[in-house]
Amino acid sequence: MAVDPTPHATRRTGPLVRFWDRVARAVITAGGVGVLAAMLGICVFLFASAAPLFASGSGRPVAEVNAAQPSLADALLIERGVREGSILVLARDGVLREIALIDGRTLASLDLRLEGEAPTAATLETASGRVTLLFPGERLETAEIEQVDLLLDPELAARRWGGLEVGRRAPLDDASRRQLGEALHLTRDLTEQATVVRRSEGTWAIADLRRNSLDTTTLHVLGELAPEIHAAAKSDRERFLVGRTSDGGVWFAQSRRVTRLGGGGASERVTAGAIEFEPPEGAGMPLGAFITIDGPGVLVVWADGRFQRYDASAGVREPIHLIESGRVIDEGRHVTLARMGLGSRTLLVGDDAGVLSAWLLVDDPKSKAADGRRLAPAHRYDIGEGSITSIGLGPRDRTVAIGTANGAVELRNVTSGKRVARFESDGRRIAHAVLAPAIDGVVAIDQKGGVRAWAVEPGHPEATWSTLFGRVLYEGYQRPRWVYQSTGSPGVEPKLSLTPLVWGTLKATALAMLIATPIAVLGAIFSSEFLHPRARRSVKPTIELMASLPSVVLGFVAAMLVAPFVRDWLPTILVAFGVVPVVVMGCAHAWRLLPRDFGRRSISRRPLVLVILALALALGLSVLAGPLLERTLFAPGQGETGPASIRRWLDGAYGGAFPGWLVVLMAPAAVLVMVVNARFVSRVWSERMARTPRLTAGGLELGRFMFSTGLSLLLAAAGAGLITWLGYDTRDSVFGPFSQRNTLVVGLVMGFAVIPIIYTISDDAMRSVPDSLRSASLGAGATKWQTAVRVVLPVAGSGIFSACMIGLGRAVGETMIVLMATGNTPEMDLNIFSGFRTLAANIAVELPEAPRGATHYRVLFLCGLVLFLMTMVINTLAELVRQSYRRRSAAL
Amino acid sequence: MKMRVCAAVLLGAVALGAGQPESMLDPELPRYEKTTPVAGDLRTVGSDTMVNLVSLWTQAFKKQHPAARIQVEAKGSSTGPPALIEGQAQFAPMSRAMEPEEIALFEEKFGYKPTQLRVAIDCIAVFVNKDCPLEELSLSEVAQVFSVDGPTMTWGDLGVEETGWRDRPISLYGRNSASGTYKFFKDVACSKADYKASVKEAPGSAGVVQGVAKDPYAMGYSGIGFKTPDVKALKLSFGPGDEAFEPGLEHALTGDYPLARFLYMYTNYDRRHGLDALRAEFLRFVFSRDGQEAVVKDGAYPLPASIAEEEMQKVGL
Repeated sequence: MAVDPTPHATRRTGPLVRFWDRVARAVITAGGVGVLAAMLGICVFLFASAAPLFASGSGRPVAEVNAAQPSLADALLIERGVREGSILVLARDGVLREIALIDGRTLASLDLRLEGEAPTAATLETASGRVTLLFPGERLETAEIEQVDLLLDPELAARRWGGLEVGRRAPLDDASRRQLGEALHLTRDLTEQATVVRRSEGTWAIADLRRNSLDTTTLHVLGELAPEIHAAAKSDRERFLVGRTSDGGVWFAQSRRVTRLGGGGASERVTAGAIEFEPPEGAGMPLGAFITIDGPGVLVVWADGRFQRYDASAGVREPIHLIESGRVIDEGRHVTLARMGLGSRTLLVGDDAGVLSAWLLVDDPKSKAADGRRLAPAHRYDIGEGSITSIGLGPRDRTVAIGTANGAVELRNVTSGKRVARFESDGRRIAHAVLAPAIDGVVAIDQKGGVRAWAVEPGHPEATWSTLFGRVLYEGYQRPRWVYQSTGSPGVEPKLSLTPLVWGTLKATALAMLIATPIAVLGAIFSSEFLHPRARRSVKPTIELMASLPSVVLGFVAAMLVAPFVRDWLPTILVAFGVVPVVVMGCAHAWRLLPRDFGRRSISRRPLVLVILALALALGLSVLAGPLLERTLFAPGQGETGPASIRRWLDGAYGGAFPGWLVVLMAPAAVLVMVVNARFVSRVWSERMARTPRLTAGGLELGRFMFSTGLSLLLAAAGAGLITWLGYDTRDSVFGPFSQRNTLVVGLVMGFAVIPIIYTISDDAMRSVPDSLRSASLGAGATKWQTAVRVVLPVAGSGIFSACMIGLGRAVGETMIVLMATGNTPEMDLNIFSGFRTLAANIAVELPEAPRGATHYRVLFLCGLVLFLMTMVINTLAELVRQSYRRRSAAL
Repeated sequence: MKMRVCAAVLLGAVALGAGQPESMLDPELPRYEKTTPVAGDLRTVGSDTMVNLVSLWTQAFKKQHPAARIQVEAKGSSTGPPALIEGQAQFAPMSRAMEPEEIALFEEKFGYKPTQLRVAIDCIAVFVNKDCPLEELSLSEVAQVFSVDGPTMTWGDLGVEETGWRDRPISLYGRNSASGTYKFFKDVACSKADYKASVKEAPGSAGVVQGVAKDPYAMGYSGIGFKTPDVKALKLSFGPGDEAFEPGLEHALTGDYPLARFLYMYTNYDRRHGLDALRAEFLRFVFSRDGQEAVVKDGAYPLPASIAEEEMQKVGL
């Protein structure tokens, strides 16, 4: 709008302009509100995705079979089936039956008798279908049980079995068995017991059980075998078997299996081993004997709470022998049930007071056992009144179903301690508690053979605050630790502690900021206060161009070029961190010694050239000094062999702690000397200098600088000597074994990535300081440096701080550089030469494999939420600090 | 475009590395004969170990059927089952068998199980740098090196006495957790114990080999097909004292090499409707002599004719 030349003639704003004004206001408001809403939406979405992790499970009854089946109460074996809603029962008559829970009817059956004799003991590993059977006469059979479940063509099935009720089964006659076998391309024929089951209105299926015998052997153990057996697989190839004899002894055997991919299938050989059994006096019949895969070893537990551990690490080559004995329960109480957990590393012990405890093998230097290990209590849960009578193992995690004498069934995760669900029934003793394949159901069979089933919504049994953030004692680990290893299988539970990831994020960010901030801020001071505007106009866009490099390219460069470079030039790079500042400052002092005309002309016209020359000199010196330092300071001492190398020193192959502490303490010592200088010496010194001729003053100044450098070195050496004498070593903390994909590499490259952001915003902040302030300062006689540091920097402080915070935010969320340049190793240490895994990289790596809605999937969303909260906290803090800065500079 | 050039270079390198294709092939495998030309879109999602193999099949198949469009996505075996269930892929190449939960999820949606097809034989090799003096290892030593059951190990702990090696820690490389190789190695080689936190995770099998090639003190595992001249595959034995065997078809078939496995391709095969023409034709190609030649070219090992026939029967071919 043109300004009206006549002051008193008023002209109103036109309606069109007002309209557009309103439109603009509406659009901007909508945009602002939209941004806020989107932020809030993301936050709510992340929260909603992660929150179910912390909810507990629930359940409801689904079936109750009133006609009690006494055969169930004294069954040899009851395990969950592969199909939903069915259990596998091996009764005393030697027939394995698959029983539908809905009506207690048999879906399929399989005769497991050997030469007409029923087995006396059996164990079944549901995941692999491996079954081990004991027969009279010390005969032992290992086999694989296959559950066949084939869908039938609905049209064909409807014609033949249309009259069948839903949930019912019909036997197969010979003709239809043959016909179906051909139609379904079965590699092996259906068994005699195969049946057709009508699953729902439109689906029919064949249910069948098959046995593939692997080996039959006679054990020749003295004494009749007792009806229990425990088997555990060390690997797919090697399994161990243990059981009791009826006179209170224990037998032990090992099976080996060979798998031929070229046909011929698998075969197995079972060999009995000898045992030097030394039961404690008066203990009587053991309650149970179990294989522990840790070692491996054999655990024998007695009802009075005593246990013994036998070393079986030599397998059957040598007799297994006693190495540890102790108690799993206080004297006076009784163990009612002992069972090995899934994966055969945890011993679960239930007692007559309703307490379930879990025991693990851990390393203990004080242990008297030959292998230096000890059976230690890991978890203890009070299940409530009534002794524990049954423990059913979960199919894939450490959730167990615990049945008590009072008829209660509780589902609890042994590792996290989370109670998934609890059901009470009519008070009859629970003889068997069985968990469904997806922990979505639990079946309890009481002492009379009554069956009760509940549907369970398990939630996320492995996730609690303590497993996600705290230290947990996991199987196979010696101490409670923060572990992240998300992939689980029935043998290994997933470990989901986010602490190592948060730690990795902080570690990478801290190092990157430590490298980037000084360079970027000093660069900004230089370009805004000292550089000629013409040079600045070309320097600034160049640095900003650095920011446009995609981080994936930087990550690639880091992994392929920087990592091997750091490995080969490690001494030089370490030395450069000290040499470059010292040499550059030394050069600045030396410049004062140059003739006035020469100095002034060159420095004011081409400061950049001089700086580059100084840097080149510094780098050259580093290249020379690096290997020199490696050969002298990091040399092997007397009696130590091998070439001198920092990497070998880092690995702890030789040498003491002194050099490490010297390097670490250098920076603090230098800062200390600088502070002392500035506080106590500078004023007096500058007053003296004012009266000294320029050249002499320059020389003295250089001398003072060199003296300060030397003093810092001496201080650092003294400190290093003291700490070394106290017995601490840097190699336990900031230094440690060198890994090629390490934090230093990421720090350098991520530093490179954030430098442009910090630089450019800091530079703008300082340029926006009014020139009047500079002129006033310079006019009052301050030097350019004094003006920059004492006047411009404080005024631009809030802007520079924002710059650093934006850089920090970028570093925290940076994904590709970290993903490519590290090995994504979730380690937790201070070592700058080891790898790490960040929250962001973890999400990128693992999201494609996580099934929707699973615990792992939700944990990844929790990672996102934690990352979001971290950046939010950083930004909020930054904003608060910035506000206070601004208030201060506004008052200026 | 750039991606394609990269892939071609990679394939070339792998093809050069493999040897004598003829001797390993079962002479009874039939040649591929085109029955009817097929067209349409086919998408495979799954194993990274098998990416080169599937690409080789795809290229050769396209020569015969130019109208067929095939996309290969490979981020790890664990990405296969979800894609199969969501219907985003017709085939899921996997370097491990499906877990019971994955099968259950599939069954929940379709009412039947996914069909597993064994398409090739593979050995997982334990690689060291070509300059490494170590020649053989037992599985129990492998478990000590890679799993938390063992302490941090140096090369001296494995019996390497050369100076410059004896006191150096072993730098470990492995696959990311989506990989079937990761799971197989954890289950079989590490006796189901957790990996050490210091095992560096490479997103692909080639990345493991590259890491080992660039890091002289490294040890890593991946499929034998990814071997380059810069790395050496160790001979493996089951236990200390047992004879060690180098990875190869012969030792895989006899069961002597401890880390031999099948490579699989899963598909959604509904018996009631049979396979569509495109998938049928593709599988016919995979199980033919030509398809198995590609397996050899990739560095894995071909199937015996008997197994190929068995697998064809599973899908009614």
